Amino acid sequence: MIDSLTRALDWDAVTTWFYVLNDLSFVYVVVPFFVVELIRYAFLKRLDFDVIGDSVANVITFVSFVAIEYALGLLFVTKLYFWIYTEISLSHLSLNWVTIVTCVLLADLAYYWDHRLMHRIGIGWATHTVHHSSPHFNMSVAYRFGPLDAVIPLLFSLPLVMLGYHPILVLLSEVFVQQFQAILHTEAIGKLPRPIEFLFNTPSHHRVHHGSNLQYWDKNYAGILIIWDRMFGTFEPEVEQVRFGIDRPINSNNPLVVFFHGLQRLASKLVSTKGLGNKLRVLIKPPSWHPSQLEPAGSSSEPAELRLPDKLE
Amino acid sequence: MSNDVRRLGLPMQLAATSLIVLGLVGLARLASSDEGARKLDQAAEQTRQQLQGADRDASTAGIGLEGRWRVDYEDAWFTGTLIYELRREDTGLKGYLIEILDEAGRAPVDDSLILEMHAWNGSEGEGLYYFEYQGERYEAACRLEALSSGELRVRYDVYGYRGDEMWHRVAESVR
Ligand SMILES: [Zn+2]
Repeated sequence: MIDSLTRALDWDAVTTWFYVLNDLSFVYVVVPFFVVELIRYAFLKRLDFDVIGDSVANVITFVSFVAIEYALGLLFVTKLYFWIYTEISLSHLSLNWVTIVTCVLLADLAYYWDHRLMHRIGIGWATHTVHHSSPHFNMSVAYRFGPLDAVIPLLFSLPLVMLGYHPILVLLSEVFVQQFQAILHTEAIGKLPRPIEFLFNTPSHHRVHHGSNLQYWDKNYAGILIIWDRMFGTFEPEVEQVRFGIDRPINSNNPLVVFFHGLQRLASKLVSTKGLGNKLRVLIKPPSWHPSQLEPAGSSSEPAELRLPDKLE
Repeated sequence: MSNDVRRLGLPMQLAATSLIVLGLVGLARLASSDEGARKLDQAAEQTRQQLQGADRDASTAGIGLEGRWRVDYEDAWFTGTLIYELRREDTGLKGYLIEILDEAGRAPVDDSLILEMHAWNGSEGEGLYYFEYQGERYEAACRLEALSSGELRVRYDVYGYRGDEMWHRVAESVR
């Protein structure tokens, strides 16, 4: 048993499997599922110009996102990963079931924290709000990304490389986590059997994450495992019917508005905020933070999430 | 509405996260070996080169390096000089062993492939180095660095053996 877990795996076989799960799932899950969702919308008489315009905008943000990631230097990122791996990482790890599974679990835990940070600091929300700004919830929303959505995750994956995991394994694991949660963007699946809902992130849990209902704000950050949210107190079950979107809807399917509304809102908040210190706080405080807002006593040791509806402005 | 349960404070959450990370990495370390890590690094090397070389064209890599190069060895397993020839082929720059000079004298050998250039930026590059040791063929990722127009440094790491060779350009007439 232990033997088979620690037996060296073939690199080409492992990368092929990740390719099948990460890249090809787009063809065998995402696209067919999206077609089913369109049929479902039609059946429920919800197939209108808004849903179609929204989906087109989603695809356009995805293409823009990918273009920006390339421009920002995907090459630089892999070079940085490898520099860390060869120069400052712990001794390197092998390739077997144990290292693959632990790498995916660590990538999932890193995803939880980076996702939570994206929601809880001004600069993070400025880009991640794009993903949440759709009033719909379907497979195309999964690919609605903001301009800087890949920057913060990068910071969270570097420690994995420092711990000795091969940079390419880290990248593949991150994409796996991302792709796992992507296929949860659907209204067509209700609740799954209890053990699954207990352990894993599911369409139901992720609908809550996209909810604009007050009790659903800043909940269920999970990628693969929902147990991180249960452990860290950010879990919320789906009870009330979810209303999708953000507190200040953008009411637009113009791809430019969709893609840049977060940065534009952040910029106008920066301009209207007085004092350099306060401007900096706008970037790193929760998105709802306002200079006039008094810090509650003891806020430094309390998680900011304890404060209630602070997304209202 | 729900979630009345008081959650862990942020410092406790971070401490718990650190413990989980420690546990998982500990498991991974127990399941790893130096030998296994070396195997992985070597097997993944080509993927890395593809990933990083995506914007570079291997078929034009190493222009200007074509020609003959001599390398003097003074190893436990070989003392003498090898002559390599770098040639441009459709799929890129390739290196072949064309002559062995040892105590026994000069012996032309069959063209055996010893180098495949994957990327070259004008002064540095990388590729795969092939060699034979005790009857077995091995390959290792290598880095190349032009120190001058007549000197090329080739480094590789295979099963813990660090190769560091200086290649000197040979004028055709020397032959
Ligand atoms: Zn989110």
